[in-house]
Amino acid sequence: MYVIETIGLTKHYGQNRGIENVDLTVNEGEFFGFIGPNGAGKSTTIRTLLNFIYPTSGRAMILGMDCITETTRIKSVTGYVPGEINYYRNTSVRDLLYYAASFHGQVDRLYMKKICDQFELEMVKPIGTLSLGNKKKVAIAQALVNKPRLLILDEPANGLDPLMQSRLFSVLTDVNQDGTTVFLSSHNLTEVQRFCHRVAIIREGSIIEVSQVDTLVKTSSRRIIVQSRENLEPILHQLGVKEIRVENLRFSFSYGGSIDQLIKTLARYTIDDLRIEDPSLEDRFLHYYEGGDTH
Amino acid sequence: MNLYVFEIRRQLKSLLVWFGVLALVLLLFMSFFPSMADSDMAQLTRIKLNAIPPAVREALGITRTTDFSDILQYFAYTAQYILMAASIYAAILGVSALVKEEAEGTIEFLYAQPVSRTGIAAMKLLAIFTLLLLFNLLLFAVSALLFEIFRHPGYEYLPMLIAMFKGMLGGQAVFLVVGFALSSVLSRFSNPGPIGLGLFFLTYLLGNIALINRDLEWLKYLSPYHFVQPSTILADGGAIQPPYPLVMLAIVVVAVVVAFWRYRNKDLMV
Repeated sequence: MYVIETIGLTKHYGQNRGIENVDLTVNEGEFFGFIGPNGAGKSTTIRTLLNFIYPTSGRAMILGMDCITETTRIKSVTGYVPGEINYYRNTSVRDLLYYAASFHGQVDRLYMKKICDQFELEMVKPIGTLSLGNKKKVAIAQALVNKPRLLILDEPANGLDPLMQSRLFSVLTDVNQDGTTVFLSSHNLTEVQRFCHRVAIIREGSIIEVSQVDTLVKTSSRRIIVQSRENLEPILHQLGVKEIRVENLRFSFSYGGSIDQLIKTLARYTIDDLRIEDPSLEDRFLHYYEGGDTH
Repeated sequence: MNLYVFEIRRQLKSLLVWFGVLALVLLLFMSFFPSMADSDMAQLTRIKLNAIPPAVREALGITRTTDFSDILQYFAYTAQYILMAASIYAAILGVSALVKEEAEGTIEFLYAQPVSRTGIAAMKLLAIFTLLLLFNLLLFAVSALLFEIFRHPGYEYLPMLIAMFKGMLGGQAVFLVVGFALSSVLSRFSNPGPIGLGLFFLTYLLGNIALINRDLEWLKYLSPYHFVQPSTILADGGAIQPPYPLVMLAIVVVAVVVAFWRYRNKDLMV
């Protein structure tokens, strides 16, 4: 049984596109990344999974339960951190967390306290007075109160300072290791590359790739930067490089071919500096979005 | 039940503000009663009121109760302003109930919890009705206290006061549920305050047109305020004129069905 399964999930907002035929499966225990630019359909997919919105066609299931008819049961085993945190402004952090807990019956108070301590939450402050980052921490804490089997996060690291981001991912890694499946929509590709096992890339409402992060990165082109005293552009074109940028004989390009061939070719010229960067998810992502190529 | 308690706690402060203002209005009006009850003044008031054209008197709610030396009649006149304000409060309570969660984005917290949409709507409706009931009980208590202070010794007022408040609560309940139905239909960009005000004044205007223009008398069925005007209830011995009770019941049933059905099926946007 998949933790998340969508079959031809489609949502149109009137004439506007939301998502189109999204087929997605997430396995138990996975740390799954869902990436795409603003407006690609990440939040629409998440909101359909949680029954905030109804699909135009297709089906979605969480832990084998139907996302429309069994949404209440789904939510008893799911935690959700929305992209923008708009909680009850005058309610204190403590009251909000107890309110969230009250929907779940029995919750582990010690665990709740541990999470609050970990995020250094200011329990007595009203939510409305908190900074964006602190609101985010409250949202993550409330999503964890029921020790969910599935945690869905929409851009959780936005607004958090680097220290808190690292603490967030350490908490997420911990809960993931304890068996919680994490479904993370994000712009932060470095984080996704670092923590996620698999990733789905969504563009203009459609999934264009689902793959292991390692595989995706390995098949990406490397970014190479060469500082020369001669014009290398013609020879670089012959080598089939892509996305070439030239500035004062500094050549930056994307290269997916043989490194041996590249070095041997460049050795014929005077080279002042050569940098070969590790392939990254970001390169792959930009390749899709700038190149417009889905294969 | 947690949602119900949370809603009540969250809205208690605004209830107390509305109540405080209306209690002051009641106090102000009722403190004029001893001078209004003075026989010369009563005579003068009656003459002046009779000089007002009947249609205007109808619109002002002073057709059948013009003896301001009688504390119940005087209160009934005062209470129509209380009813107006309370109806607006009820309408705003209703209109805000569901759509405010979407407008403020808090629905992303609430509906992520294990609670169904029907559960949310039911608990919210129960909470706002409880608030309205509490609001009316507080106003009733203040009114009873003022009667104790200003009535002539031995004057029996309680049954009629209860009847007027029961009627007024009924009228407000209609505004509450119609507002609640609107709340399930409106988009998140709507502003509950002005819509609540609009709901009251539009129906009030239609009710007044019905009073003035006999050809448009049927419009009176669209104004819950006019169903339960305290002066009419008092003149009718404490009863709401038929078929208004049935009309009210029909409106309540339709509005509740629409609200629950629509809320179950709508896309909750933020």
